[in-house]
Formats: sequence, structure tokens, C-alpha cells
Amino acid sequence: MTGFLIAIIAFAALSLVFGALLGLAALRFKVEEDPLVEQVDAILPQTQCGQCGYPGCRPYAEAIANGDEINKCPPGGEATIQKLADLTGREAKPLDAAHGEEDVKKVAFIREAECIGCTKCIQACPVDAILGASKMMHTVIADECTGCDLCVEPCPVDCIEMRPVKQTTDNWKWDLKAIPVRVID
Amino acid sequence: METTLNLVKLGKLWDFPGGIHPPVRKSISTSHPIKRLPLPDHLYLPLKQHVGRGGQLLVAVGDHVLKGQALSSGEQGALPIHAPTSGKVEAISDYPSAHPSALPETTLVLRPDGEEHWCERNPIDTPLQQPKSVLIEKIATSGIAGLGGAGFPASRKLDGAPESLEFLIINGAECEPYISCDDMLMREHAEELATGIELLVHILNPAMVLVGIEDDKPEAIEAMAKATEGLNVLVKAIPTKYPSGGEKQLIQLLTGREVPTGGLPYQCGVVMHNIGTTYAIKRAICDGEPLLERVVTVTGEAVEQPGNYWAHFGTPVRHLLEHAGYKSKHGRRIIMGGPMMGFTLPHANIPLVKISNCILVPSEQELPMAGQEMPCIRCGQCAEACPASLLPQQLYWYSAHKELEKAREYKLFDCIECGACAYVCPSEIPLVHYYRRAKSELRQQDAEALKSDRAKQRFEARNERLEQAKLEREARHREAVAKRQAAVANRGSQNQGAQEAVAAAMARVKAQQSDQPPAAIIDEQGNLQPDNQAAIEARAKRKEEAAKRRAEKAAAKAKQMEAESPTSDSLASAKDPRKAAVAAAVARAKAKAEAKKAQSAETPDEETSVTEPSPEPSADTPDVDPRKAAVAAAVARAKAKAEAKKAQGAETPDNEASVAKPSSEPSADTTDVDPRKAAVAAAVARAKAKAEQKRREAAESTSDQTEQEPKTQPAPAPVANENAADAKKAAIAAAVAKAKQKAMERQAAAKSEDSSEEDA
Repeated sequence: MTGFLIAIIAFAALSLVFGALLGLAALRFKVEEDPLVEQVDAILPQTQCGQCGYPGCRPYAEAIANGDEINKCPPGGEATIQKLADLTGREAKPLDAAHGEEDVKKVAFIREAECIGCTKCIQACPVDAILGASKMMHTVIADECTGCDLCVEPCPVDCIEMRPVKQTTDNWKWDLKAIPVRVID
Repeated sequence: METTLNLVKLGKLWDFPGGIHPPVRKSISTSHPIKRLPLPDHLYLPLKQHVGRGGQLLVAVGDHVLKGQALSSGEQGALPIHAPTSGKVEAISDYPSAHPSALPETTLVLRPDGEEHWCERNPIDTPLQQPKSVLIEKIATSGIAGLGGAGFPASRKLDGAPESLEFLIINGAECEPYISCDDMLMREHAEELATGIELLVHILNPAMVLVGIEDDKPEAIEAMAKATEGLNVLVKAIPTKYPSGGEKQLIQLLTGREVPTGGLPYQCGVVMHNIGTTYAIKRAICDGEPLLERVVTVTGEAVEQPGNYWAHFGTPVRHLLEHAGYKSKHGRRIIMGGPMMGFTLPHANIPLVKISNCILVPSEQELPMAGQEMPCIRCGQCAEACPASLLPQQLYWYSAHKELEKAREYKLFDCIECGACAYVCPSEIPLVHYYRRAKSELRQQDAEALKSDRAKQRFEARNERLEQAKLEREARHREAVAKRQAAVANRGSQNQGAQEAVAAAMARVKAQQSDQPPAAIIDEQGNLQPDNQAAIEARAKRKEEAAKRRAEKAAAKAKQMEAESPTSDSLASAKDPRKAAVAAAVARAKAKAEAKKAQSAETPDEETSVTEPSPEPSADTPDVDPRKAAVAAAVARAKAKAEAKKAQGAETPDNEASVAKPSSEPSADTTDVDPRKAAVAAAVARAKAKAEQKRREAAESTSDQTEQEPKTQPAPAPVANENAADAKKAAIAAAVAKAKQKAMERQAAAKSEDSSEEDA
């Protein structure tokens, strides 16, 4: 009987000690982890286009963290959905067509001769990529344009169009049309 | 360190892993000395011929340029290009580039005049007495890029080198089959190369200089050894093995050191320059000649006179081939670069650039077309051949299946694209192409990630700014309110003060007259009371007036007339042409608003376009003639456009409201100037078309309308009453017309889209 008691007391004491150690370690070596929102936000393409129905990428990231669907981002396309699925552990679904379709990358272009200088597009641009002043011609800083499309609608004279990003030698991808490398003797 | 130097001195050679031994076939092109080509009809000079960005143009179309004159400026890492000969700039346009994609790039087309007039050359007379920065600057302004194939700006290699450099290696290995341009250069210009090496030694001050040459070029080795006698230079014959000419491989061969992943050679104490580059550096510094030409190997069995040629940059490949006796045959492949690392040109009009070391035109038997790609059998031969000790089969797997991050983990970016793996592959898989593709995709992904980061920053910065602007506005607002209150209070007290003074004066007068003591009056404080009363009266009056005004306004609104009357009346009375124009715009806006109301009462859809125009002219007529005429013309044009859109003119009122503000002012300002006016009219017309489209698309809810109305009203501030009346009439007419046109419009609806697009 006493042996039994001693065993119980010993184990109880041990478990207390180790429990306390573990608890301390958890506090002491706590890993500062990125909250989910940050990680989701980092995956989203940051076009701030609002096609997902939220006013920007971060709000959508918050919505995803709170359980919204991960297939509402047309600019990101399948690649983004796949990454989000990996991150959140949810199933990757095809892009929700209600929010648009994946398209080639585009940038806004202002036909400058037609611009009347109303500044409406400047106010609409989420990333300040349009330059201009009231009654002065506006222009798009193509390098900063995310192709979000938000400036097209407010233009009263329809002088903004979305043009596909031009292929240059810098963004060209090799096709597999090979040159032969085998030399016969 | 010390030991490496000693070992090298003792003649030790290391080896790099892998490598292959393809047939070299260099003798085809080494039987003749380097020949010079006649000038072609045109030279096509791409602005960007090296790794990095192109420079800024310095010349314009039509300019006459001299040989050696800079055509673009090299700033911020860009390299300049120079006119290879004297002549006239005929065009600056996009032209297929010497790139595997042959995508057009900005190219300067030069028509040689055949006179070869040099611009002023500024050789550095005593280069070895100059500080190295002067020499590096000269090398940069001479546009010298690495001529070995990669095209890295030579000046940057020199600039970035550490103070205590151990090895300067001159790369004469030229390991790729067929190519012999460096070989010939060493045979024929060894003395100049030795001078070039001296210059580099002066700039870099290395502990040891090595010249690495493959042992299948005995003439070159001999010539270089002879030329560099007496200098602290070791000419090393290295075993022939592909790719010993790769920068990292040659470093490993000669020093036994490995360049770290993603690093540059100087991190392991080495700077390497190609033979061609060394020669160009000598020419630039000692002769003042910028980089204008290079030696190109033209070879292959389909060429009758294979050999090496001095060719100006910008020479079309066709010109080169014609002089080498190339018989153009359908379906011949023209390869720029060697058979291992080169690329097929889509046609022969591609210009020669700084990195083009070889033009290879093989016969069908010589280089058979690639066979059918077969599945990877994981035989591992590629891994054995890889000079960078990578796992090509894994890289292939991940690249082909788009697992790009995995490919990156397997050090895809350490691949030098030498093609050894593809050469040994029994399944004939074009491995290097998979790697190149995966690399470009990864690079693009990285660029996009960077861009999205920047977009995020900009977005956040903007939000912050807007937030701040809002706060500031509120603060200003509060301040303004406070000020206004203070002002009111002030004015009251000032009034009081003035009246007190008056009263005091009166009292004094009275006192004088009546001889009464003034104190009594002051004590009474009677002066304050008259004050207050006056103020109260004034205020009451003002209130009354305001009430009247409000009543008027309400009445006007009830009637659907806008009438912010008192002010607008007085404004309108001033016969200002500008105002007239504004009034016209306002009238249009009103007409639209009313039309809308009428619509809401009736069908949601419709239009009064035809009637719309009428108020404008009427509003205009009372005004000054020429301006009026111009405005009328613009309006007429807009009308015509609207009509062209068939009956959709109905929508015109809408758009006008939206554009009213921007358009009215310019039109008033500029009616005299034709093109501007026309542009405004066009803009208005476009806006109209757009609004129409919008309307059609979105069924208007009543709530929308109520929202829009307040919007339109602020704009019309200066409206004349007559205009309002006109607008009313117009609206009525519109309602009538609407019913009539409904049928028509529906038809037109479909067409309107087309027309608006045409418009745009």
C-alpha cells in the first residue's frame, strides 16, 4: 500500500515539475508567428482592384482569415488560389467566375489627346499611379500600375484603356523550340 | 591564400566536375587570317546590346554622325553605343533584336556614307601613370561589355573588384565547338593583348595574372607566351573540355576555388576578362577607339568561306553570310552563338551586337534537327556531365511540372546553361530550354512579388494620406467655424465700440449744451441699448430675408426650378460671355435633370435628346456673337455626333450633367481657338455616349435619381431664370418626344455601343 502511495506521489511530483518546466518554456521561448492575415495578404497580388468584393487586398485577407472563400481573386488566378489553399489547408477550388476571370496582365493607358483633366481617375487609383492636375493632361506611370481597372469607369470621356503588358526581351519566356545540341561525328 | 598562389606557380591545375567532349570543329574557320567586311548598306544598332538597360539617345533622325561618335549616353549602369562608321541616322524605330525571341527593340538605323570620318579620338597617352578611375571611366564611356557572350559591362567588373585582388584571369579558353574568334585574335594581336593585360594589371593590381587557353590552340598559346614575356603573366594551357571557358569553371580549373552560389568571382579573389574584352580595352585606352566592331566567326558546312571577320556592330547577319559565300537555302538554320549555347535566328536580318561571337550555319548532316523528345529514364548521365554539380534530372522534373520553388531549392540559378546535360541525354530532352523557361518564370515571379510589395506600400501610403487629409479638413473646418464665431463676436463688439464712441460724443455735445455732467449719461448706459436694438433689428431683418429666400427656394424646388435665385440672378445679369457658356452648360444639366424626373414618373428608360439641344442655343443667343457662334458650333457638333448615334441623343442630358463642370469652362475660355474647341466638343460627345451606355446598362432606380439630383444642382449655381424656363420647356418637350422616340431608341440601343466605340 505504501509502495503504491509512494509511486503515485512520485509521479504526481514528476508531472508537476515537468508541467511547470513545459509551461515556462512555452512562455520563455514563445515563437512570434505571423498572424494568418499577414501571410494571406502577402500572397494576394496587391492590385487593390476590389474584384473580390472587398475594398482592397488586406480586407480580403482578413475575410479569408475569418473563413471567406479563397477563390475570389481573379488577378491572382490559379497560382494564388493554390498558394492560399496550401497556407490555409483548405481545398483549392477553381476561380469563382462571379468575381471575374483570370486575364493577361494589363496596364492602364490614357489617350492623352482626349483627356480633359478631370482628375477623376487620379482619385480612383488605389496606388497613386496616375499623374496629373486639374485641367491638365493625366498620364499613367506604367511601372506602378497594377492593372486594377478602377480608373476606367470614372473617366467621363472614356479615354482610358487597359492594354496588355507588352512582351519585351526582358519578360519573354523561352519556348521549347530547341536548337539541336547533339553533334554527330 | 599563399599556398594557392604557390601551387599555381608550380603549375598545378585543378579540375571541375563533369564536362563533355564534343567534336570541336574549329579548324573550319582558322585556316585564314581575320578578314574585314565591306560596309553594309545599313547598320542596325540596338540601344541595348549588353546585360542591363539601354542608354539614352543622343542623336535624332537625320543627324550626320561621325565614326566613333556616341549615339547614346551611358548613365546608371547603362552602356553607350557608338557609331561604327560615319553616316546618317535614317531612322530610330523598333527592329528585331539579336535575342532568342527576336522581339523588336529600339534600334537606330545608320546609313554609312563610306567615308569613315572619325570623330575626335582621345587616347590616354600615358595610361600607366593615370589613376585607375580615369581608365575605368574611359572603359565605361567606350561602351565595353564583356565580349565573351554574357555582355556584362567591363567597367563594372573593374569597379567592383576588391583592393587586394589575387588573380586576374584572361579567358582564352573558348571551349564551345566551332568558335574561333578569340583564338584568331590571340594569334594575330598578341602584342596588343599584352598591352591590354598591362592596363588591367594597372587597374586591378592583382597578385598574379593567368591566361587560360585550351590546349587545342597551340598557336595562340605560343603567341601569347611570346607576347607576355617579361610580364608577370602565366599562360596556362588547360585540357580541352567543354565548358572550361565558363567563368566559374575556368576559375575552378586554374585556382581550385568555387564561386559561391549567387556570388561574383571577386568574392573568391578573382576577376576575369575575355580575350576580346581585353583587346577592346587596349583599343579604347591607347587608341581612343570606342567599341565599334568585333571578330565574328562565320562557320558551318553551309558556308563556302568560313572564317573570322571584323564586323561592325549593327551589320545584318545576312550581309555577313553573303560575304562568306553562304548559299541561301530554304529551311537552313542560322544559329547565333555556338552549337551548345546559341539560339536559332528566325531570319537573317538580325543585326550583330556586342555579344554575338559566332554565326553558325550547319548543314543538315552536320547538326541534325533535334529528335523526338522522349521520357526521362533517370539514367543519371546528365548529373555526371553537369559542370556545376547540379541534379539536372531533378531540375528538369520540377521545371517541366512548374514546381518552380522546388527548382529554385535545387539551385536552378546556379545552372550556367552550358547544355552539357542536354548533349548527353539519351532521351534527347532539351533540358536547357526547360531551365531557361523556368528561370524566366521565376524571375518574373520575383519581379511581380516586388511589384506587389511596392503596390501595397503605395496603397497604404495613399490611405494614410487620405486619412490625414480628412483629419486636416475637419480641423480646418472646425477652425473656420471657430473663426467665424469669433468674427461675429468681434463685429458685435466693434459695433458696440463705435456706437459707444458716437454716443459718448453725443453725450459730450449734450453735456456742453445742457451743461449736465456727462457721468450721469454714461452711468445710465443708454448707449448700449440703442446698440443692441440696432443689431437685433438688423439680425431680424436678415433673418426675414433669409426666410424669404428660403421660401423662394422651396417654391422653386417644388416647381422643379433650381433658382438659387438671388445670387444667380445678379450673376447672370452681368453679361459675361463666360457666364453665358456656363449658363448653357447648366441649362443642359437642368434639362437632363428634368428629363430624368419625367422619366422616373414614366418609363425608366428615356430620352429627350432631340429637344435637349434647343435650350442651349436659346441661352446662348443673348450673348456676344463670336463666342456664341463657337459654342453653338461645338454644340452642333456634339449634336451631330449624338444623332449619329441614332436617337440615343436622348441620353445627352445625362452626360452633360456629368461633364458640365469641366467642359463648360474650357469652352468658354477657348471658343476662339478651333482645335481646342473641337476637342472639347468631342470630349462632351464622348461623355454623352458613355453616359448613355451606362444608362442603358443600369436600370435606374428612383433612389439613384434622387441622389443625382442634388449633385446636379450645385453646379448650376449661376443659372439665369430664363434658362430655367427654357429648360422647363425643354423638359416638357422631352417628355413628349420621349414617348415618340421610345420605339426608335430601343432599336438604336444595340447600335449605340458600336458607335460609341468608334467614337473612342
